[in-house]
Parts: sequence; C-alpha cells; structure tokens
Amino acid sequence: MNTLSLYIQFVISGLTMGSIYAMVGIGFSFIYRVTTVLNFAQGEFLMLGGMVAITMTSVFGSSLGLALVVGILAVTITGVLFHLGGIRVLGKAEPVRMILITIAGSMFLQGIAYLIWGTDDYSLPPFVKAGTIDFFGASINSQVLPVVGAAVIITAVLKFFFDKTIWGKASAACAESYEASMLMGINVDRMGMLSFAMSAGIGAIGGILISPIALMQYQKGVPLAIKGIAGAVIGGLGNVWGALLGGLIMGLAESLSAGFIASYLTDVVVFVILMLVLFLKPEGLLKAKA
Amino acid sequence: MKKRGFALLVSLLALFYFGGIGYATDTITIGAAYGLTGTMGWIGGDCVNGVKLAVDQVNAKGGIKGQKIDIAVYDTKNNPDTARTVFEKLIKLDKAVAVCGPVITQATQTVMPLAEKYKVPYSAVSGGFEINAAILPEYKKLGKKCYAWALTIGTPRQNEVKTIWLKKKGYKKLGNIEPLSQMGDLSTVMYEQWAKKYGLEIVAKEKFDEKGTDFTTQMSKIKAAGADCIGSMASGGPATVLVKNRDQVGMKEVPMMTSDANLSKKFIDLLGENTGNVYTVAAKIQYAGYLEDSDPQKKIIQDFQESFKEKFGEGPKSWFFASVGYDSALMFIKAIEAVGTDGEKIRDWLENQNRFQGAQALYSWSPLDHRGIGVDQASVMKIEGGEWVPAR
Repeated sequence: MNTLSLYIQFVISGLTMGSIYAMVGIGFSFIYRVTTVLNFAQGEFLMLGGMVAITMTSVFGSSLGLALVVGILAVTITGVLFHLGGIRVLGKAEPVRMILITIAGSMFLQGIAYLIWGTDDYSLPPFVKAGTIDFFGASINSQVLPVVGAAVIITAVLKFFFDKTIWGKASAACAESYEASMLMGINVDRMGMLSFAMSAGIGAIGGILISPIALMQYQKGVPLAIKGIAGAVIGGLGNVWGALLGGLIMGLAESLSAGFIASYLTDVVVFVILMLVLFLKPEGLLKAKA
Repeated sequence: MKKRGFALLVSLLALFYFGGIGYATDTITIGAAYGLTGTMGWIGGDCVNGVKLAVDQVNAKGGIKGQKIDIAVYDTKNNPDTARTVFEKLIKLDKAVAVCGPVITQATQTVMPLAEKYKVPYSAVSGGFEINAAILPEYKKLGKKCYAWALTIGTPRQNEVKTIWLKKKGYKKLGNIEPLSQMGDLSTVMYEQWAKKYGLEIVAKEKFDEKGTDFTTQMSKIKAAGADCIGSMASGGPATVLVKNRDQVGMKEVPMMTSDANLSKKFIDLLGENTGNVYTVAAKIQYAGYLEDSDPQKKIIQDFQESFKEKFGEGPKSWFFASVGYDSALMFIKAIEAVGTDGEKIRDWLENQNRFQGAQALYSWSPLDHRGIGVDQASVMKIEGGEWVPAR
C-alpha cells in the first residue's frame, strides 16, 4: 500500500462515516426547520429502523426489500405516535419542554429496544454483494455505496420538497412563525406530525442501510446522534444540504485525525472543529434559509 | 430485688450473646456476591450455580470437620456501589469468611479496600485488572496484603499466550489496535511487555472508539506499517466491525487475536463470512472435548459437568462462568479445611497453592500471581466449522 492510496483510504473511510452522520443530521435538521424542536431521539429512529429490519430478515425470513419497507413504515408510525403522544400532548409548543420530551423519548425508545432485543449486536445481510471495490489501491466497502447514495438522494428530494411544493413551503413557514402560520390557515400540528413522520422514515432508512456495515444494538443511536447533530450544527441548523455537508466534515475530521494525528485524539479534533465553527460562524457554514 | 433483676438481665443477655456465637459456629458462611440482574445477569447466575454445586458437594460429605457451609447470595447488580454495600453486609451481618464474586472490574476494585480492612479474601470474575507481578510487590512494600483473587485468565496472561503462539507460528510484526478504555490500555502495555520478552516487534499502536462505525483508517495504518499479525482486546460488535474492516483493507490472511469475551457461538454468527484468521484464548474447560485422555484435567472437567447437570437438570449458559463460580467456592472450602476460618490464614494458604485442581484449569497461585492460570492451562482458539476449537 503506497502513501497515496493510504491517504485515499483515509478520505474514503471519512466519507463512509460522514454519510452515516449525515443521515442522522438530515432528519434532525428537518424537524428543527419545521418545528424548531431539537429532536434528540433522532438516533433512536435509526436504531429502531435497523432493529426492525434485522428482525424481519432473521426471525421472519423476509427478503431485504420487504425488511426495508417494514422497517421504514414501523419507524414512521413510531415517529407519528411520538409526535402525537409526546410533543403534542405534553409539549404545548414550549421549545425547552419539547427538547426535554425528546430526550425522555430517546431513553424510552432505548428501553423498549432493550426489552425486545436485549444487549446483543445484530447484523443484517448486505444490500450490495459486490464485496470490496479497489479504488487507486484503496478499498471501498460496496456496502457504503447505498448509504452515500441515499444521503445525497434524500437531501435532494427534501430540497425539492421545501422549495417547490406547497407543503414544503408551508412547513418552512411554521418554523418562521408558529402563530402567523396558524393565522394563514396552515395546520401547524399536521405540519409538525409530517416532519416527525418523514424524519423518522429518513432515520429508519439510514439505520437499515448501516446495519450491514456497523451492526445494530439498542444503544447504537446515541453516539450516532451526537455526531450527526454536531454535523447539522456545523452545516447550519435547518438546512438539509448543510446537514449533509456537516456530516461529511465530521466523518472526514474523524478519519483524517485518526490517520494523520493519533487515533486516540479523534473526538478532541472533531469537537474542536465544532467549537471553531460555533465561534467563527455561529449560524453554521450554510446559513439556514427559510 | 433490683440487683437480682439486673443480674438476671445480664445473664440473659450473656446467654443470647454467647448462644448466638455458639449458633454461628455451627455453620461457616461463604458469600456469593455476583451481578444477577441486568445485561450481564446470566453470568452471575452461572457463577452462583457453580458455587452452590461446590458447597452442596462438601455438605453432602458432612461439611468441614462437622460444620456445614452456608451460602449467602446477594445481587451486586454489576454496580460498584451496590457491590460495596453487599460486601459490607456479607462481612458484618452474615460474618462471611470469604466471598465469591463480584463480576465486573469496577465492582472488583471498589471492594478491594474493604476486603483488606476486614481480612476477607474474595475471588472475582473480571479479567480486566492486574493482580500479578506488576501490582502485588507494591503491597509487600507497603506492608499490606492483597485479598483479591480472580479466576479468569486475565488480559496480561492471555496476551502472553497469544504472543507465544504468534512467535511460534513465525509472525514477526504485531499491529496493536485497542478500544479507548482501561482494558485497552492495559492490553497495549501487556503486548509491549510480552513482545519484548518473546521477540516480536510492535509496528503500530492504534486506538478506536467502540461506539464508532468504521475503523478502516486505523486498519489501513496497520497495513501500511507492515504488520503480519494483529492484537486487540476488542469484543462483540466492535470486534466484528474490526474484523470486517481488516478484511476490507485486504488483510484477510493476517491473524487477529481478540478478547476471550468472544468465546461464544453468538460472536461467530455475528462475524458471518468473516471468520477466517480470527483467534482468541481459552482455559481448559472451554476445549475439554479436545484434551488428550492422558490429561488429568479431562476427568475433573467431565466429573464437574456431569454433577452440574445432575444437580440442575441442564447445563449452564456457559461452562466457563459456572466453573469460575465452582472453583471460587472450592478454593475457599479447601483453604478452610486446611487452616480454618481465619481470613488472613486462608489468604496465605491460597497464595502458596501450586496446581490446585479446579474445574476450569489447574491454578498455580503465588505471591506474584492471584489468577494462577498458567500458559500451559490455556490455548489459542480459532473458528472452524462454526465452533471455537483449539489452534495448535
């Protein structure tokens, strides 16, 4: 392995991790954009998606495609119930209260997952069977391609949703002003529910796609959420392209610092970057556009 | 009249008091303090059953010099604070002579000062702390005695077994990758020590976050450093990801030595197609079926397994943990038979046992080793046909 291919490998590893963080960050940013809630249960949506899909294939022997669909549906429903039972009933539109509810929701969902699946790690069969792809002497795990692809496609679709559809524009208006949107005849509760449903679905896709690479376990959501949320903040909260960019920056920072500095310093480097961004450009790299 | 009443009271109290002591000497209490609930509760469950079997066997023979053994079982919840409370209870209320347990490293370390203060020897499960030549001489210097034993092979010794094996197989350059934890740091230090002793070169020292998702960066650094073997105390999911990443960067043929915590069917299932060149270390009970008939340990293990099944109707979740519990109780029973119930005497006696016959292995304890599983009592293990088998 020559030096160049080693460096390429660092970058590829960084993009791999980065696109996983981006999947969390996108859902997080989406909910924030519509409801101004910081949803700390976003990582649990990933975890649940992965777990449901794994159960479908290993217990019920379903195909991967069916497992994907059932996983997304199950988590989307969870997202809706979470919004109905938690945010809408208990939250009463107070941001601090809503954030606390999402933290409680995160613990609750973890508890449920622990009761169902215990503490074991589970693996999902690969979506792509191409094995390892050689790229200038560096190796790309073909499992990563669906993750990167999904992150980009989802971001583009969301961008279209916000800019071109009436629902997207209405949802953006909700973030701008809750009361004004209500006066304009927008059903803000329904918008909130929609954002939770879609974010949960996006989270589920991410969780299912990473399960063959990183395995799934009931506590897997929290560390992913921390990195994903940090990425969304770096990129600019509320901007889905920003979440993608921020996630990739997080992944690259992690991998390059492990590669060039020392692997025990990765978290330090990553969070120094986060703090630098918050100092120099508090609104994030890409400013949130309403 | 008043005086007589007082005298009566005093004599009654005295009767209760001495009567109580008389009662206490009828039985000898051994504590069993294991985590019985929560994530790793099953480990404690296996251990307790092992303890029960050992105690039942000695009681069936009439106990120790006519005194029956009593077990006081408590749940430490694998929580260091609870473990401390449980130990206080065992020592002060139950008057336990010795304690089997606890399980996890933090709990084991938390109860250490308590055991030393009240001179109560205990026998833990954790493999993640040192009670060997690196630590025990310090006790001597301070004029103290260590009351902690642990009947698992432990990180230092298992890394020695791995290093010897790698050397024997002709590997030269070790890449070390460890989780960011106390266990990982200890493992690195031990690899450095054994590599120096047995003549391996450590060419890479990497760390990884067990909560992470991809470690190909570290793996490609190890590859770039020219490692021909990899050592890591990684276990479970993170170990699986490490192995997958090793294969991904094209090091399928490079043997990877992992933690003995991976000795399960579950881990093999997790690895899926990536079971090649994955190794760990086990003590004899884990490969009893592969022992030579001439090995005296074979008969001991078979007897243990038969009587366990007879008593509980089925085998434990893991013979390994059941044998750790059984041997913990057995070592205290034998010590009490030899020197009585004085904690310090028990401890001193144990420290001088050579090739003590336990179900797991033959233990050789010394003032420099409170684990006692020698290099000859363990083997490197590989995966073959979906099973862990000894790699000769």
